[in-house]
Amino acid sequence: MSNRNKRKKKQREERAFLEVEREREQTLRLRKPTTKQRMLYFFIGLIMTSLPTYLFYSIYEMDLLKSLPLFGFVSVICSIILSMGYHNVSFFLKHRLLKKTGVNFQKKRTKKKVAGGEREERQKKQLESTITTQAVSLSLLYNSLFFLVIVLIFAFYITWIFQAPANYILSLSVASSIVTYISSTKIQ
Amino acid sequence: MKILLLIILLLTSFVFAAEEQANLVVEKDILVTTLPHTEEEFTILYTIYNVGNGPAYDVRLQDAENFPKGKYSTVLSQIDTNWDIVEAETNTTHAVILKRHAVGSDFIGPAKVLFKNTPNGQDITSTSTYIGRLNFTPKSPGESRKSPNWEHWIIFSVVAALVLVIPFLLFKKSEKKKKRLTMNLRKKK
Repeated sequence: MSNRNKRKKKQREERAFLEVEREREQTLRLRKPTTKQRMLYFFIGLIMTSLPTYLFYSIYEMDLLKSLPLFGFVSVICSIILSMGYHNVSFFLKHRLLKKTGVNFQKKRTKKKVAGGEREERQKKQLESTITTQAVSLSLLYNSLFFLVIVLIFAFYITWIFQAPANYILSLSVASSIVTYISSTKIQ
Repeated sequence: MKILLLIILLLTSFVFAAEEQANLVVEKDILVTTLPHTEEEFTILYTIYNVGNGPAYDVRLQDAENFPKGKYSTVLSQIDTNWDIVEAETNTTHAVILKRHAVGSDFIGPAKVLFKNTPNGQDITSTSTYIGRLNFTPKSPGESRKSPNWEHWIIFSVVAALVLVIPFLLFKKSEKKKKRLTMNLRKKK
């Protein structure tokens, strides 16, 4: 092979490698949630962990004032675990939905300005943000429902033999861990 | 002489007939829908009916013997109480909330009610009805789980549905917008 062909082949390989690296960096950047997303996931997680607390207070007759530190601590920890699960599923769903649209979201690197290019870019951004909203809302719906079902199964059929405080800790922590673990396997 | 004796007898009978006497009938009841467990509150209600034709003075209810302090504690009110007067053909009630601490079985006997026909008269004793044998067992952790608790489940379901419906509506709204934007971008191609 001549030197010129070898040089061209090497340049092509370098360009392909850089493209892959750029895509990987973008994926990693998207994989980390923004502060706004983190706050939303944590807030929703706090609401979802408060719902079973009402059942333990009313059906298992746990004293509200005495158990308030326990409720608060377990709710916060489980909300943090749940928020990781929410982000994992929304990240997975976003990529799937982006692929399904059939639109190329990568920015074209051209020296010439294409007519109507800016408008197209704006529409692409709007579409991306709409898909993000869809992915987040689906993730919240799916994970919250899954979490509630597991909590109810554990609290009333599996760990009910324990005393109410132990039952509360076990059912909520196991449910949030299962939801986050299954959501992480989707990404892998 | 005979007529005089008859007049005296008639007068004394009128006097005795006019003499007012109280007659207290006491009912003792436990107000629970299911048998109480240890460390669970239950209410004892005493109802005193004066079925006589005269008021009862210095009425005293005594029932502390049936609920010894070591086994029971009062949550609200007190077991022994008193009234200055209970008028004829009226009734009065007294309720006390108790809690038993130890597991076991007790026979809850009748309460004693002391009263007087006149303010300075002699004490007359009346006894109430009794409740009978009560078995106090500890509450098992599964017991509240087995009862229906419909109202709590309904509240939980309604709040959970409200919380879950919001992301669903958000998803539906963004679905329409996504379809519109996707069609616009595909047209341009």
